[in-house]
Amino acid sequence: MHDIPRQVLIRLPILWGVDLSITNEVLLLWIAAAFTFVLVTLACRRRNPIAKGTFQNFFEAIIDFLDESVGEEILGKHGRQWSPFLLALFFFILFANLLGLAPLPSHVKAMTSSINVAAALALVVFVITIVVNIRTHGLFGFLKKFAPQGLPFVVKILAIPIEIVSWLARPLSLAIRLSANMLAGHALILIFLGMAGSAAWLLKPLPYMGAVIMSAFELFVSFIQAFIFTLLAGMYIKDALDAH
Amino acid sequence: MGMRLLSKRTHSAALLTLNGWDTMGHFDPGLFFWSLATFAGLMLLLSRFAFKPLRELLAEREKRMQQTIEEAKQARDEAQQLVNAHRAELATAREEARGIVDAGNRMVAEQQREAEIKAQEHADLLIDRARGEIERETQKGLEDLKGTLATLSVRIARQVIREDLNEARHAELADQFIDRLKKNRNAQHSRND
Repeated sequence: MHDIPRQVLIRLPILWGVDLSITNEVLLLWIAAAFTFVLVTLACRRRNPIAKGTFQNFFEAIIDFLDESVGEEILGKHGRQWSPFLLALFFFILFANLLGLAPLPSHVKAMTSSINVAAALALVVFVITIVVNIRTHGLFGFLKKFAPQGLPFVVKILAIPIEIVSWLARPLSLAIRLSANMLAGHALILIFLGMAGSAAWLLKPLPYMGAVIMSAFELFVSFIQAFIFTLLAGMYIKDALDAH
Repeated sequence: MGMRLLSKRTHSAALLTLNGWDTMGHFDPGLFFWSLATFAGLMLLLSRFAFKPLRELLAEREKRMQQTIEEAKQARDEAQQLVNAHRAELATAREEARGIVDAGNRMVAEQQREAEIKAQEHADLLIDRARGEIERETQKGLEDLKGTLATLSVRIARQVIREDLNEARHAELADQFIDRLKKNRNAQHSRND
């Protein structure tokens, strides 16, 4: 989509070397965001707190699950404070993942399979953890976390770069995990479809079956990857809130 | 065969390239910026229009559930109170019934005792009457016997002594005879006792 289909829809100026033009990829991102906003808003806005349908039940089950598994389990008393951010993160990643399952492979893709999108989301989490760390423990307290307590001085000196690398690896692992998982699943589906296109007619059903199975698996992966990203974000925020 | 495999590989690779998968790793600052901006905007919108109403709704539901639980607890307490009152009433009723039965039993026993006393008194009265009657009849019999014996003895004596006894003498003889007769009977009763 970068090479052929990357199309500039609205030309905008380049600021500090960043081309802010609206491309079809940005449009896909907005479509995922719009889906997220409309569906989540519809699911969440109702008058009667008891009566609800399957659609609302489904969303509420997901929200409850996230609130319990990430909010309460990991963040504890801070869960309620952080749940809007975590829910927004989860649903945005989920719908960006699910875009890849739309039956328009030459026009639509899972936007999270792009490292740019995954890295942006990872950066958001990374910056938030730094801000929370500094707000909770102060700049000096935050920097002290890189020097583990209770270690001999020499080991502490050695541990500091390891801690820094470990700290920096978090957003990298978040971004690469999400992007690679989504890319791999969709690439496999496309490979199956490619095989189907060039296979002998007697063998054509096999790659199609593979593509169907992989699509079902990708649906599962879309949920799992969105959950893992949210779960790790919650854990990093919890780590930032806790004193070492 | 080799050409066919190559053809398949080329087709898959072409499809991937067509969809841009081979360039997914390239850094695109524009897309990166728009990703950040889109997520920030989405989070703000969701917080304002979706999560805030949801939180309020969940809070209201929690409040309702709490209220329902309170009502259920209250209803349970009331039911428990009713059950306790019912049990107390039942115990009182049982106590009263036991009292009534005991009183009945006592009354029956009293009546039985009174009936027995009355029957005993009646029986004693009857016995006394019978004894009086017997006494009177005995006395009467003895009187009759005395008269008959006097008459007979006078006749016998007249025959024996050839003399006529006057009435006074007759009575005297008869009394003597009866006295002896009574003494004999009493002596016989004493022996029998």
